[in-house]
Amino acid sequence: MTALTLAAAETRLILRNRTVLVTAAILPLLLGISLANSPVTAGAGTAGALAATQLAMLLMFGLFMTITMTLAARRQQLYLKRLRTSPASTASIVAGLASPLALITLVQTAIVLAVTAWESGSAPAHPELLVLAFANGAVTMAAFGFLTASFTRSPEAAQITVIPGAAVFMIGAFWTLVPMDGPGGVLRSAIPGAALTELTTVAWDGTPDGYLAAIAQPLLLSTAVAVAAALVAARLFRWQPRS
Amino acid sequence: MNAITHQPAPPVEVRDLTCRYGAFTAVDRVSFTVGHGELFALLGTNGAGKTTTLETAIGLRRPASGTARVLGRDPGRHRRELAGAVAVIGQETGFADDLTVAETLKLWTDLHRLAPRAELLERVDLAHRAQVRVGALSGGERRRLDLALAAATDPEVLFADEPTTGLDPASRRRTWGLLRELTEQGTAVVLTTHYLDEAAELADHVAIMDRGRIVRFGTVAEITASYEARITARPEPFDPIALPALAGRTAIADGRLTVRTTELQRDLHRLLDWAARDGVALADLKAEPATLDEIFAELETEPADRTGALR
Repeated sequence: MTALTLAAAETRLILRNRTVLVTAAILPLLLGISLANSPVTAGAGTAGALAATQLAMLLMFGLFMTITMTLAARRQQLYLKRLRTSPASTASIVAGLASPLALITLVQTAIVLAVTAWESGSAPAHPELLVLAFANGAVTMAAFGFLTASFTRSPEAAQITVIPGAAVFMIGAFWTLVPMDGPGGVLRSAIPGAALTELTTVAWDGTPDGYLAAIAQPLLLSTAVAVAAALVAARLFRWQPRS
Repeated sequence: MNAITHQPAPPVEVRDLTCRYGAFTAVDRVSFTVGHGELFALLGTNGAGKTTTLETAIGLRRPASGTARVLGRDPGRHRRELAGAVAVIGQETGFADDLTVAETLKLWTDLHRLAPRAELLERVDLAHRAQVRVGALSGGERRRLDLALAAATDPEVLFADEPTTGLDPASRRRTWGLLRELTEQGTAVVLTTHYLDEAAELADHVAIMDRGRIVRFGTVAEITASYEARITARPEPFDPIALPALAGRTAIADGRLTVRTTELQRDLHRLLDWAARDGVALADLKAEPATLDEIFAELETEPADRTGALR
């Protein structure tokens, strides 16, 4: 209940702030659609690879970067400190702050992937896995957003502090488009963003090996990475500015 | 009143609280208790340790040692349970600038699962600004909105950190009125302020903090009584040699007589007797206890090792 109350307030704040609105809603949408005709992703080959790249970019811009920026702004305004003096639980506050951005990203994803399906004349082989890939990616990006916000003093500073995380996500998302077997492939799946690409590719293109075998490793590794990021963020996250 | 299970313990109990920032001790073995319906004022200059004491008592900071208990519970560990019964007015308001005044009040009452209380905006003279975004409010208006949010939850305990800073005189008086109403309803109030008149006007008990320690404690009357009172007058005609023997110290400047004394009544009586007997008019006669301003000024000149914690 309190999470819904906070989510409603957060949605109002996003809609009323032009910078956040552009970063969270418009920029990822334009990027996602433009990727459909990009020579970089054209080389990836399959429609699944394109969808995976689009999803990674949408989640990175719409969730990871925007959550980092938004949390830094809310903390700077002492809004987070005030919420901590309310009866809202930590989980409600986190859910209330993150869920509107997750919802916006979900809508963007639906739009962008619909365009991709239309342009490529294909459809996801396993739509339920696509939902799982989105959920997995959203949790990972949100966890890294909170973690990055832990050491981000202001929304302006977020433009710098998101760079390492964004670089890692892009390496994870794009590198995975190149086939790799053995221990190297396992390690690569643990890179944030990599599992998202692997899951989405399987979800869209299907797999000859049966998808349970194909998704078990990236799913387990990415969940472990997301949980680890969330635990570290919970330990490091500051609800008020450093004094 | 938004009550949680009542404990036999006082609403606020702070014992030997010590807080450090690295090697710097911001609060040094501070102790006080606040009862139901009592307004306790923590006075001190900037950096005296008032806000750190308050934030630790609220549970926003962990003490290096000592304890803070609110309604018998550790505020650091029972934040959510206490949040319904404890209101906080911070030095900075912590509002989301893009929400309107009405939306901010509604968000707060919704988070506390309370019915909307739009009438509170009337009480703090913000009803006409209900649809204005908080970011467009003046500093004083933000403070008044903060007060409305605190009052909205009918708290058992209110922590107010310099709630009238930046307010105009009318708003200050309105704030004082609301604080009085809350204490009359039984709310325990811990107020930090550097306005001495505010403490004198509102507080049942006062603690003066200096360099992290409580250096004076008591009612305003008790504290001022331990300092020299002052009698001033302009005797006409004035012959200093004819002055009666007084317990206090006398000073004469520009025809004005000033007597600083710990025996106000006796010295005043002697002066009045002398004036009546010798036919002296005591123009502009004033007899008053030491003001908190003077006590503050005196404390600031004392070295740290001469100011000991009293309670």
